[in-house]
Amino acid sequence: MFDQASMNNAQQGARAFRLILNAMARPGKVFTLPSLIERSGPAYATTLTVLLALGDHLTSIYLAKAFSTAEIEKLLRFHTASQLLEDRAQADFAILNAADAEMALDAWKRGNPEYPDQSATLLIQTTSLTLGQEVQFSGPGIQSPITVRIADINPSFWKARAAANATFPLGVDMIFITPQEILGCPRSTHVSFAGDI
Amino acid sequence: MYVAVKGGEKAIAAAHRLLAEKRRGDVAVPELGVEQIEQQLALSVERVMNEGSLYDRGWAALAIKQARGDLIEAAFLLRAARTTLTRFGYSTPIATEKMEITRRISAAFKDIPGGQILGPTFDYTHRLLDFALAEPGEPLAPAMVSELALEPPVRVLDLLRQQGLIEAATQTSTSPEDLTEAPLNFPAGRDLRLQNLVRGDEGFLLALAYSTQRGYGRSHPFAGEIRFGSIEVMFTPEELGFEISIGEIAVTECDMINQFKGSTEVAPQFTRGYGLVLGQCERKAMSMALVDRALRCEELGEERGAPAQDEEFVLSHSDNVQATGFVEHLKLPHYVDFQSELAMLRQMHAEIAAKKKAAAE
Amino acid sequence: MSSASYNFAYLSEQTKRMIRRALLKAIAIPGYQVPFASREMPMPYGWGTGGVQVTAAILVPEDVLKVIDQGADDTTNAVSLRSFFVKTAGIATTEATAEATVIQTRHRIPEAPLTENQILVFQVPIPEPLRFLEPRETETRKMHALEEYGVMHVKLYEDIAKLGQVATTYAYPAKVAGRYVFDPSPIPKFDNPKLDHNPALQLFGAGREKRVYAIPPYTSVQSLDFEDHPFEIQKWDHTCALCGSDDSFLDEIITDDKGGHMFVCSDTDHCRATQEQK
Repeated sequence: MFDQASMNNAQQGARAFRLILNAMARPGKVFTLPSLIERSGPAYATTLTVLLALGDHLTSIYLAKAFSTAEIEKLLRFHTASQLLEDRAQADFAILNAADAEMALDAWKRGNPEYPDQSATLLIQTTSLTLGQEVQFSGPGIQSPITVRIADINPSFWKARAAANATFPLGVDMIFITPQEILGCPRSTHVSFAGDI
Repeated sequence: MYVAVKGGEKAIAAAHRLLAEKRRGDVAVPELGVEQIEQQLALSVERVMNEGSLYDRGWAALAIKQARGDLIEAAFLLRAARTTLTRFGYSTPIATEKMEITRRISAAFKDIPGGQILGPTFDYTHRLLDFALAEPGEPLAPAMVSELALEPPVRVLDLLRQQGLIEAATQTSTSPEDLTEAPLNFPAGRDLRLQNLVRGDEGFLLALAYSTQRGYGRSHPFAGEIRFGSIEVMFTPEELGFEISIGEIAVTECDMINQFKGSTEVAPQFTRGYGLVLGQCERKAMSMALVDRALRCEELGEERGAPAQDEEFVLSHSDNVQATGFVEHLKLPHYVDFQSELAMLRQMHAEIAAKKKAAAE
Repeated sequence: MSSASYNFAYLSEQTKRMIRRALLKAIAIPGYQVPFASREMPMPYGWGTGGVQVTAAILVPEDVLKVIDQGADDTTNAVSLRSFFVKTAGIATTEATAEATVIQTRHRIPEAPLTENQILVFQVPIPEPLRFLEPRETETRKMHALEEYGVMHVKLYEDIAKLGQVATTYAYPAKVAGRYVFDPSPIPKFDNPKLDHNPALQLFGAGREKRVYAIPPYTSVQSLDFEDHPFEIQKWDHTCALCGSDDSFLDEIITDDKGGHMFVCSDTDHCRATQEQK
């Protein structure tokens, strides 16, 4: 038997996931994500909501240094039962700041040729999805090339991403997250600068 | 004027009512009780528990009643019920060496410490239909049971192991994988193979086991030990931090002693095949042990070629709930695809006819 | 009002998370079959458990669900699955394609063009397009990894050599985003063009075989063919006897035992809508 509180949790979880699904299916579009949980220190409520929606005892999470607080760790253990680890090569999810995101992009799980799905999803926090350097997203999910702005990203990040994702289907998938919004960037998305061929 | 036939919903409701009627049968006959099934059709109940992958005699008996005696349908009901249950975790591995023995035999030795205990078995019955059973029986005098050893008897294979005559049991440092938590990929570890076999169809495993005895992947088996009895299931709840017993289950364990591996340089040792099932499903436990051994062929340096040795073939087709779903799904409408085939065939007929006509002219 | 004794959409939250993670990876790698730990459902394997698990994992209370089988809402299994979701999720349902936000389908794509606000969930019996050419998963995984689809091209070419045309009329293989060859489920090849650059998200669930895959919106899906034998869809010599449609997939209805027959739209909603327009 499930009570009304559980039922509400299930329904809210469903709504949160649906937005994440749409964000990955339509890369470059900004989606407002209502939070299921409060912000904790540097981790946005939206970031934690994504982890609540997707993480459980079968997944592992890497927390960048800025996010390795006792409170965040306790919260994630309690709500997701995910394993928190320090080995990037094993992590299914990671919370990173946009400014640091390009560091060791090749350290994450990118899958293998027979199982490219066994790869990481990076949750990259940014202060804005309306200001910031402009890039163009194109590829599956995108009707015609879309202009995307992500704040705090270093220009070299996109090169590093392209290198990490150079041997499709291997690659790393990303979700950019502000305190209110999410934006999907799966490995299938081609990112170019305005004026690039 | 053709009007599309509607009323699928009504048809389904009517079909369900008819099913309920057929399930009950002649109302002049007393209705079957779930307890009667549990007690007097225990081997059906145990088969359903194995293939339903859930130890609950009452639920299995109910499933058999609901399924009108169709044991695969009953196993399906139990599996679906299992999916809805909350998982608390994993028990401590059951200690079959501590089993309270009801039956224990070995074909490898004439006599063994602890004795050969026949227990309740069909083995030496004469298969003559007993019409006396058609009438309610007189109360039975209690059966004579030999005095069992106070200590659980030592495993026959452990005795062989002590003498270095049989390989060690597989040890792994990691926790076993759970077949129900991740889809099966090949090659599969022995832990996943054994889980797959326990819940596999008894008839399928029996046929494969039989095939190994007839030369399709021969392994020279001897029944080292078959033991049936009850054991406690131990579990450590996180809140308590210590082990408690959460109940008793009946299991049958079969250790097969198989073809030895070795040479003039490396002292040969017999190899193992293992079967463990819920309840007294001996046929299943023995079949499982034979198939387990066959699937270990690569690990033991043997040539793979027989159906019972083909891991992907065996493990992909052992689940009768999956099998019956797919075989029986052919009853679902397929008229759109059939229409596509019809259209192609008619087109090809027309083309051939046109060719013949052109050739004739 | 959904039954209080089930979790929303039946599956446990843990099961949903597992499926949801698989779906996100499927979307990131269009056409690639993601393994997932399929659960036993209250309907048999082979009767739509994959589609049901995908739908259950994506449904929100606000969804309007349409369930079709062979293009019709009233076929027995569609009725059964629709009532399952009403019972366990309490969502609204519809037969009108245009009103649906989630459409679960077996063996057809609706005739009405879909929109960005819709998700199409396909029930898949055998997800592996190479399965009947190579029964082993261990081998087909390698073939996909190496993008080695020669056996498929050979099969199609052998058909042409022997029969004058490709003999595959449904579950026609196609290449997704220029990389993975996939099985679109047993939809008639008539429906294959609808897969290409569809504004809707298309998700595929195979419960018994334990795979999910996805075609994101606006993604290239090219049915396999040869330059000298381009891919062609089926055509009929008839129009729908009920609505007059000449561009929809038609079912053959046998009307007597002397070979009498008529043809009507397989997509019952499309037929109804076309009739109403007249």
